[in-house]
Amino acid sequence: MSGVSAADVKKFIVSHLSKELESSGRMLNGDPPDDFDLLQEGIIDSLGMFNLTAELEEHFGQEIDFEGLDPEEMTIIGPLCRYVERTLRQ
Amino acid sequence: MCAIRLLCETTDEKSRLQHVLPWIKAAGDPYYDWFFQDDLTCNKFLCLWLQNPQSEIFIGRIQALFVGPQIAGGFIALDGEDLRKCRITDTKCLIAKSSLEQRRKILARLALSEGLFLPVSSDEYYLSKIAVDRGFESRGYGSLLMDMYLECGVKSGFSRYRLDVCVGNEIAIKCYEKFGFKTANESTTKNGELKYFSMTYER
Repeated sequence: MSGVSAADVKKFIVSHLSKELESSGRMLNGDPPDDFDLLQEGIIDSLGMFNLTAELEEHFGQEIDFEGLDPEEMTIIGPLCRYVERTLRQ
Repeated sequence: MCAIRLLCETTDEKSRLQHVLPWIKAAGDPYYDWFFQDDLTCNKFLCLWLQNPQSEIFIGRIQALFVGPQIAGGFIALDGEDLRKCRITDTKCLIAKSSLEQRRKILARLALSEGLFLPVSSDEYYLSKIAVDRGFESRGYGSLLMDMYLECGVKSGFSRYRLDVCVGNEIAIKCYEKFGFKTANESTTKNGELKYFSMTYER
């Protein structure tokens, strides 16, 4: 069982996306709110969504099945982090 | 006697899907073939998308051309804003319904095809798919479908039209040019395997 928390997942996502954004001179708030939608805010696009899922799996060393996550919540930081936490604990 | 009707208003769901799958696949090739790399994966996702009301290729969006009781072809058209939302939904479906291995392959394809299709603006009426069934080819139904697509656009208040077509599809390109479309841009996948023209028309 993984000891990864939603806060750990969020920390990784923010760190990963901040690095990605750096090249285009943009920044991501260090502590985005729970309802922060990465897609609506223009932080990621379709390719970015795929990249993020791959990076999450690589970083936490486990395949993550996203089928149980409501597609509407796939890019919203709070639900996404909690889903990854639950999945990694199973 | 020809008539255009929404496909969802006719026949049962299972037969609609069986009829439409090869049609939509042909309309999306060579991109679909290139993107999915195998028929099984391609058919799996096309079926999922066809049944999802938020998808770009939802079966309910298909305007089908009926010749008597038979379907001779059809098209899907939507505005740029709808298209953007639909493509996001379709991407989320890809993420949710693919294995880790499939996701890696798709990610690589997405990276290679970044920029292949230019964004469509909300005031453009985008021809997402158009195809004539095999048994009805070379009888002018392609032109009839184009007429119907433009007519749908006029009825919805559009004056700007957009489509993407594979550079090698000369028959389709000639047909689009006949209707006044002009090549606005040429894009290529990063490995040079696919080339598409973006064509526009303003009336």
